[in-house]
Amino acid sequence: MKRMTDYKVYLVIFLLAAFSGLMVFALFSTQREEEDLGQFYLDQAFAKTGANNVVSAIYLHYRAYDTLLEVLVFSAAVLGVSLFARWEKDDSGGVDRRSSVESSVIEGSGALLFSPVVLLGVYITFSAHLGPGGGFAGGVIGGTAVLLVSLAIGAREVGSRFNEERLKRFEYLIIFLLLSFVFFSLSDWGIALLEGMELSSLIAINAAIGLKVFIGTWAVLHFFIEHRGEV
Amino acid sequence: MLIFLLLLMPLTALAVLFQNKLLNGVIVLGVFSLLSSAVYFLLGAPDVAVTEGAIGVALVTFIYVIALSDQGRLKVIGEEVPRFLFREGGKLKGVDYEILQGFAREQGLELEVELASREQLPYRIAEGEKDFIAGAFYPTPAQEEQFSLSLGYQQGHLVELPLREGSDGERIGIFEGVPVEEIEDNLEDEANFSQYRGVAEMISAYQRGDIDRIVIDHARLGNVMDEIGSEVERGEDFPHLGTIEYVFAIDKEREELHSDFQKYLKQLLEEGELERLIRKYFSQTGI
Repeated sequence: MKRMTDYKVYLVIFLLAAFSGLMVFALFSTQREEEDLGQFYLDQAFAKTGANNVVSAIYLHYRAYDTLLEVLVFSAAVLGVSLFARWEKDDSGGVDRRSSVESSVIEGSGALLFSPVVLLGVYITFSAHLGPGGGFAGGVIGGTAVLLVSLAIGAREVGSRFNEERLKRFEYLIIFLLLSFVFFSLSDWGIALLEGMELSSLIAINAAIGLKVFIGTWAVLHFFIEHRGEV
Repeated sequence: MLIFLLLLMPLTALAVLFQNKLLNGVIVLGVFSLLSSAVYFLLGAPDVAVTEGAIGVALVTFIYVIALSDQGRLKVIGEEVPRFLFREGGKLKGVDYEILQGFAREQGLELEVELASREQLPYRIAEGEKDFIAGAFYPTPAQEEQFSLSLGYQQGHLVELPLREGSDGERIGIFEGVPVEEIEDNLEDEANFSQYRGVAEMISAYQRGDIDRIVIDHARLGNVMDEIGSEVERGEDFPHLGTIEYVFAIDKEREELHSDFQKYLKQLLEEGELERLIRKYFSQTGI
């Protein structure tokens, strides 16, 4: 690995400075006319969706398309990693490395922390309508919990307990369900049909996103570990 | 508080760029994420703060660490040569091994040594699988071009294995890159030299009857004698035929690793640590 040559470092610094300058310029030059829009959400969101957390109400109801595309972006990233990993597998011939971690402290704390961390992920996923949280954060937290276990007992061991193919099909199924549900819930007759069930649909979407992100996170970590060796 | 954090953020971002070790850069990047997470929280966006904390601090850092775990290894390939690089009771030992171990510790790298025959060594480096060649290595002229070489850290003495019975001993097998002129001066008779890339090739040539004698460095004598089942006593005195210098070979693309290693080796030499190491492994026979 070569170090970056000096002019490249200066180029990066220059670009960063220019970008920050632009941001400051944009900050002072935009006029703010949308303040009543914010007030509109504050007034309406609770009554309409039943969610105490207005942020959740916005990104799962008013701006559900945004969220959906974000989930798709994440899925595309996971897909990219898995494709690259498979491509690399052919010429490396599957390097067999055993876990380099042989510390009972790590093993013990991995086992001890796994359940609380997963629980935290689940809590953050399912309580997003009440307080800060959401499917994204909860899913990632759950994924890092699995990472913790793979640090303790080795990723290969953890990976062998999952059926990778079925997991992947399951992930695509969730994406499909999410897509169809959001399109359904935003159509006219969908809105009519879901009258009075907005809160439950928020929780359901969050749970689906959380599960999807959890699987995706674990998949990415698993691919990396498989091809780069244990941590 | 908010102003302080906001000022700290560009500073950490710059600090990432100026880290010498990639792993340190990743850790500082994690600190940057942590700071931005705190800023989001102070600005009243706890949702974003939670997500940033989970993704930026935990997930991304872990992914980088895993991706870099390959970079954290010093990948060495070497020929098994007694006293230089050998296995004893399932553990690697030897002068070369201890030098590399010290170097790896200083660089914060994990040492990973694979043993292979001399014939295979150059290919494994060329494929980018390994960084280092060790194990009483001396290069052929082509390999001198191909790799960055370290200082010569120890001299090897060339000796000959006795004649095959019933031959005149004209045909001599040597390694590629061994100084032929010096051997010719020291030999009494005329000789034809055939060059081989490694011990295995040389032995099979000997067994086929292509060569009558083998000239090889003293360190590898044991390897050859075991293979051909020579009856010669190990402790016997062999006439000195020439001198070679053992070096480490390093992947030419790893300039920084090469200069770091040269510095380390020079330091060992100046502190007399190298001499102590060599004495430790060579005391029994006093070669």
